[in-house]
Amino acid sequence: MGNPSGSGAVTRLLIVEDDAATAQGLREGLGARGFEISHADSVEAAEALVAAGGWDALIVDRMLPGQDGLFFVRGLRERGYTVPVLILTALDTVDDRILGLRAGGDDYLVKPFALGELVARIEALLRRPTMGLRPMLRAGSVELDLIGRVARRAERDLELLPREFQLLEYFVRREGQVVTPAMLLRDVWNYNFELRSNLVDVQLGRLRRKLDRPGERHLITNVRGVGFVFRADS
Amino acid sequence: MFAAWASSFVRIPKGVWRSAARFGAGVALLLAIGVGAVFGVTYWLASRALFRSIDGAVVEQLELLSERPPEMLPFMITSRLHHRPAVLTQVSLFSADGSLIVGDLSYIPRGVRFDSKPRILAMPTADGGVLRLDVAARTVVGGRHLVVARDVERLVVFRETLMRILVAALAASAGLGMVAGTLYALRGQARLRRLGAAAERIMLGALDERLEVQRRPDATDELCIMVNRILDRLERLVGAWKNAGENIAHELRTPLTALRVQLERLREGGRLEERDRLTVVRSLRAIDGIRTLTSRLLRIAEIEHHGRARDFAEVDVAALLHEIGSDFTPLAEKAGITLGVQAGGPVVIRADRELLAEAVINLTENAIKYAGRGRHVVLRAQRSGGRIVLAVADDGPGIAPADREQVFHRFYRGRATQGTPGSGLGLALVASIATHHGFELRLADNAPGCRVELICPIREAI
Repeated sequence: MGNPSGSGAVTRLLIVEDDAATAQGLREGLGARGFEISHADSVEAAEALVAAGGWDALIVDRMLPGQDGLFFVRGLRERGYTVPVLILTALDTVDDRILGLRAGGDDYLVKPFALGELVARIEALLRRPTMGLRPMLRAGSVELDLIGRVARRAERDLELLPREFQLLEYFVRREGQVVTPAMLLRDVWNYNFELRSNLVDVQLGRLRRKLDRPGERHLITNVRGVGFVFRADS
Repeated sequence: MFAAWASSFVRIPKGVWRSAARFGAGVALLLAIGVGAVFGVTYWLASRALFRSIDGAVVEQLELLSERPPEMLPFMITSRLHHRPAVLTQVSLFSADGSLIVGDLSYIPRGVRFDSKPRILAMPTADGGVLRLDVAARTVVGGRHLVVARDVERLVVFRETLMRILVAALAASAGLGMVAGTLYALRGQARLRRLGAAAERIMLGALDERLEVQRRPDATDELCIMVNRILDRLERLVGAWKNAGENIAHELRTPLTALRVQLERLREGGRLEERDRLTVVRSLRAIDGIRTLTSRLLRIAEIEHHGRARDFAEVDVAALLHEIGSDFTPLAEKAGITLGVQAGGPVVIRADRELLAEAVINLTENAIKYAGRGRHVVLRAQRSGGRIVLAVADDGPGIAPADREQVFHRFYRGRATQGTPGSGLGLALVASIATHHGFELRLADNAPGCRVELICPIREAI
């Protein structure tokens, strides 16, 4: 997982976090998933490590001793530093979210988080979804007509509801990448709040039933405790 | 400016007009009584002063003449006639049958009484006019009638003019009293209504709102100043309390993060026995529960404390309900519930779309959770009078009347919900979203079941 680009190089992450226990846990947890981790417990240390270069992504806590992590991130962006930054925060109001993204953060994760969620977000940052302006999107036997809003698998019309189409498009654009329920709520439903019900699971269940006929390979599978992943059949 | 002033009166409700007019009528009555009393006394004093000397002169003349020997009377009357025009008094002697013996008056005026008392009488003149006379008369020796009179036409006319002025002044002061009283009452009522509106906004949570105080404070203003001071204190206390709540939630999260990360490492380490692994999993779940709880508390605090009014826009609630209905249909079906939407055409209100969606989703999730298998849940949007009512209704077991008041409070969970997981913050969140929008949140009996209504006043398009 720490090698999502498939180029053979190890992904190098810089964690800027002053809480030693959290930093230690992250170092171990992410290390076990194949990432190469460095840790800075202050802005000064982080600046020095960033200057050394070679990072694939930064994970920055907002509450750093003496300084808001956002200032650090804004400073980086002002100097033209483009490496993706994931902001960790104990604050999760709308204002905080807007501030975080405005300062140059690419994503935003509220404490306390699950390691799986963190990893999924990092990978999402590292592997930008396939965007482009093509009217057709293909992944194995799945074919999406983005203009006609028609989805087909192996020439069979899937007859998806608008929301199901949006969901499938989101997965196809992130083929092979773990997607969490929180990401789906935020990106597909535009809901920046938590639901009490398992709306995402039930909607996905319905999409899967339309997607997979008996005997066909399951295209969207569960990643236990984290989320889901779409893998195209070749 | 005049148009604005005039239109401000048009917008005044009927009842306000009526009570203001009543006040105006009262003022008019009081003013009329006052003016009437002053003028009445003046009138009475003036007319007495004017007529008393004339009355005296007439009666004196009558007495003077009647004391003369009867046979002298005709001579005295004729002789004084020669002194004209210096003599103002008219005197006549009539025989017992009323025919003129001698004098200026050719006949006895109608209404004369022979009691020596002066009275004003009208006497038709030869040219068809009327002459007003102050007349006194008595019977003298031989049954003859002696009549003394003086022309008081100009005095009477003056007195009548005085009377007309009095009536006009009364009418004018009453009219003025009516108008001024009504306006004053309207102003007072407008002030009361403004105070009432401010109080209502404060009640809805605008703790930074203050009651208006006039430049020169009266008794009402003293009271308003007092209330404002109470509000100052209340605002500080609530602010401090909210900040404390938010800080606690924030400060909790850093150690929780460390704890969660460590527990995950423990679970992934692979050195745990199955029983210990389950304990760790349960602990992780508990931490996520705390996280959800703090998220919701923070969110309520955010909605209540920090205005998000800048995110208000036109929202088609009918479309929103259809979208939510369609999203939650599979979930409802899984719970054995039929979810329906009754909302036709665009129904547009000004709202924060995401917050409104959150409120409706919360209510929908609640309904699906508690209605029970085989029941129906309906999302409805309809215009009703000048309002739009959003309702989430079910035909499930409903909420016991005793619980209804409390379900919107934080952490309250009805007796019937015991044993079902939940934070008890859902409806409190909906309530804070409603308050934030100025919507009324109402819990109604759906007979059977429960109906939660968000009542949105339609704001005039600007």
